Amino acid sequence: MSRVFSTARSAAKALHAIAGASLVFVMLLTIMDVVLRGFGKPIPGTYELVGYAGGIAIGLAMPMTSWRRAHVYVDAFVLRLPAAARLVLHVATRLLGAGLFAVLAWNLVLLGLDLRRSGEVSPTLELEFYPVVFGLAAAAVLQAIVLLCQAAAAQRGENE
Amino acid sequence: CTAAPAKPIELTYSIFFPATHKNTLLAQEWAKEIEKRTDGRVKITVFPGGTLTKAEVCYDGVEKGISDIGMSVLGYTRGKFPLTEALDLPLGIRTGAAATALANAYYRKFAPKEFGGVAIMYLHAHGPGFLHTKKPVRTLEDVKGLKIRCTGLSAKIAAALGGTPVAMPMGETYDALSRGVVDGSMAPQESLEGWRWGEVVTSSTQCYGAAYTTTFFVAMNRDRWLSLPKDVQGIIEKVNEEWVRKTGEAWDAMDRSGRDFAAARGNGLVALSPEENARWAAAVQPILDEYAAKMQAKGLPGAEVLAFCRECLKTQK
Amino acid sequence: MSSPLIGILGLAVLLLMFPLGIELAFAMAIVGFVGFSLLVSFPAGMSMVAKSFFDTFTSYGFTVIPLFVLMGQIAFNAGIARRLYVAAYRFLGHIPGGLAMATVAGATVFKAICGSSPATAATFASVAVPEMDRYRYDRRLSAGIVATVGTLGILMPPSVTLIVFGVITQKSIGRLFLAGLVPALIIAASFIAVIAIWCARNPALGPKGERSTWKQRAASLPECLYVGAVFLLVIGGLMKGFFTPTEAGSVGTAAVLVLSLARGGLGLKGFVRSVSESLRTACMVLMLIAGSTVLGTFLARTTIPMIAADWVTSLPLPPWAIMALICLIYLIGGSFVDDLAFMVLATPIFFPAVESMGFDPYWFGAVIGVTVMIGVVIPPVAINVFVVRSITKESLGTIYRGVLPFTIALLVMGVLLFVFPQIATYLPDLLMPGR
Ligand code: NA
Ligand code: NA
Repeated sequence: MSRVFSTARSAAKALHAIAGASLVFVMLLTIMDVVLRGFGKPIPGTYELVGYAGGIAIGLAMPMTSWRRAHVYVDAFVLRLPAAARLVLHVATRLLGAGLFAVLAWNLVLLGLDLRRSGEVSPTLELEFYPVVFGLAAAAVLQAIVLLCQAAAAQRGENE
Repeated sequence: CTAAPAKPIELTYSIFFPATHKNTLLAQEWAKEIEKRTDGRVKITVFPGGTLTKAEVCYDGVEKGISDIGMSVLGYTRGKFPLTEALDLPLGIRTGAAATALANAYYRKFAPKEFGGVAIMYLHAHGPGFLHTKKPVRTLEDVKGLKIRCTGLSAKIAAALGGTPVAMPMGETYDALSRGVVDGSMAPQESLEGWRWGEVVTSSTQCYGAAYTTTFFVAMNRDRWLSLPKDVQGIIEKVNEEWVRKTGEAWDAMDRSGRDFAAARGNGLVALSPEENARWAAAVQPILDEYAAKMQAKGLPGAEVLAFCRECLKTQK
Repeated sequence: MSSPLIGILGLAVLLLMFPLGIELAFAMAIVGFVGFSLLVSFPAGMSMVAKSFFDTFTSYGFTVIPLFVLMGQIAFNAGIARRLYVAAYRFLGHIPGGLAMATVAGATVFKAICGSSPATAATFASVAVPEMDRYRYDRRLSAGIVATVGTLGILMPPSVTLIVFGVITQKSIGRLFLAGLVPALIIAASFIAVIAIWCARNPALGPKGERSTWKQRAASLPECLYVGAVFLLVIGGLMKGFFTPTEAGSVGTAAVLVLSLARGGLGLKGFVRSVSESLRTACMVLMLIAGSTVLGTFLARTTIPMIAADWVTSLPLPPWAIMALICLIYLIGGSFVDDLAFMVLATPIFFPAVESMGFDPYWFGAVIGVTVMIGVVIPPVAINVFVVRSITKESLGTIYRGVLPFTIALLVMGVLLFVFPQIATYLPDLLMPGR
């Protein structure tokens, strides 16, 4: 069990690191574009590259964000419940979330395959979209695993 | 005793244009017309403003059944319609009506396989895409070094003309023009009023030689279309035919209105001489050649399509 | 069952799910997915969810959000927020409630380089509350003000909320920033007035601190110049046309980064922490937007929004009253759902009506900004209050009581905006004439 935990954690950290690099890339790219534009030579495709890299940054940050429970939720009511009820709700909501991300992951894979087949590309650089979609799918899988880990941890009384 | 009326066939129609846009109103009339002529057997609810599917996801949304019908831009999903990209090339179109007629004629003749997942109702296309700038552009030389806001294919046109293409969201273009982040933008004249660019540019160049268009589709989910009774299909096809003409004319009316809006603000309108137009056309010719070569590599009849478009535009003049 | 009925049922289920401790974004996506699938089909629903997430995450307008958050994070980790606060209390610390006023002043300046409201609240909860504890400030005042100053981030440029509003309505983000600036400054001033009045009536709330010498005061000033320089670079570059408002996030971040590195005090560790934190905040924001996009698609399909908009605009009331009603809907909706999420949901519904009634869209942006400011601090879902509680370990009740007087100031501002729309429209009309 703890093997699963530490592996999931390392994976989440790794994705978070790629996300961070992607964000820094967006910043540097935008600035290069602004500066070079001043000399009449903007970087072609900056606009779509920012969307592309930004998608990687946000998507791959999902598992770590969930691991830290940084998404907005309301606990004012839950905190007043007895421990047993709290546990049930905690596990139930984790499972619901895991289900959502499993569905999302599966359909991102389908979407990626679709995009690969149809040959859809970005408007200027004609980049393929499917690698980003598959990246998001991987992040969604890990996100589901993170939520399952949280449920399992709670059940063993480790409270996340 | 009378039989209870059968439950109407309910269809959803997704459009990204805002509720008040001329194209939304026309689509609503289309829906009403079909309702009327089918005696209420078909009921179509229009969802404007991209509330059901956004412009970029509209086509896939129709394919997957998120909406039954959708209207959006073919070019928003680059690469999905390789052969049909010809319609958006700088063919030198003269009017929205001509571009719209051409698009539908092309679709009938070539019946491209790339639309496999949907049933196309009709296509339409805006009037000639011109160059709108902060300083008048009279010759090809004036374009040199200008930062021009554009997307996708029009980026290639701007580059071919010697400008520097800069991509940005539509909503930011007004500011970018007014602050000088860009020196001009490529679009139909309609945008001068619709996006109020007329206030932040001073001149429009009617570069017919390099004029391009953007093709829009109106499509229905294929299974949904096949499930409709034959007579209903017939009625819809009839209405579609009428709307091809109406929509083409509407685009031209919007262009006239945009031109008047700019003229009322004292903006200039540069008409290129036939010789200058020919130079612009020559400048963008490599884009057409590139398309033909790319299609040949894919085994698609690109050269044939181009020849057809040329012929079609000639006879319409 | 009719479509609108399924929609109402879906909303009811959503409201029941919220208190159970599920992430709001997940709940919205789940209800939207299940509802849409029931209405249309499961394949359509699944495809819709995948497309909504992909589309939101890769949208240019939204992906610049982390950069604006990063700017503030770097500033925080480089100690800029702390030094700004010190500068403000050198000048204000000796008067009753002065440390609270200094929090407002420091946060207002800090906000000029930080894009996120909860981040501002978090920053000042960790910087200013311990200081106010030291001088035995009542926790109602200290926790209340840090929760409230965070809301300035919603109107003060560069604001994530206004960026999202601009992306949805296709309006100029630069003009929206300008429309928010004057109301934000007036609100900051009114917060200081509220503190002064409150402390005058109950001196035990905010006892006087030490008076600083003029030498100490002068020594604290360079910090403000430093932030001012970044602010001028960003705003000046925008006005001069060197870059667009969305590009300003990158430029500002780089400027803060270079200045922080040049002065020391950030380091590689601080930089990595800043990137990591801003990713987390941005992921939280984008997850909310993706979730509400899924829910919004479902609601749109039920035609509830059309019915609601038709109903609102057909009421036999003058436009301003309809407008007030729309604000009330934002306020109530934003109180239950997350405010940003609700704005993403409601704006496409009401914005066309607002424009057709002839209201200035930038003014509307400012009004919605004030409405959201109230929304983030009033129960039941009040993000800023939650953030402050998690840092100060203060009870929710105390923080809510501390927030109350300031929400009155916000309400007054909202009314003023109705009476004098120029508060919002004057600056954009002056600096960016045209629309
Ligand atoms: Na709220
Ligand atoms: Na609230």
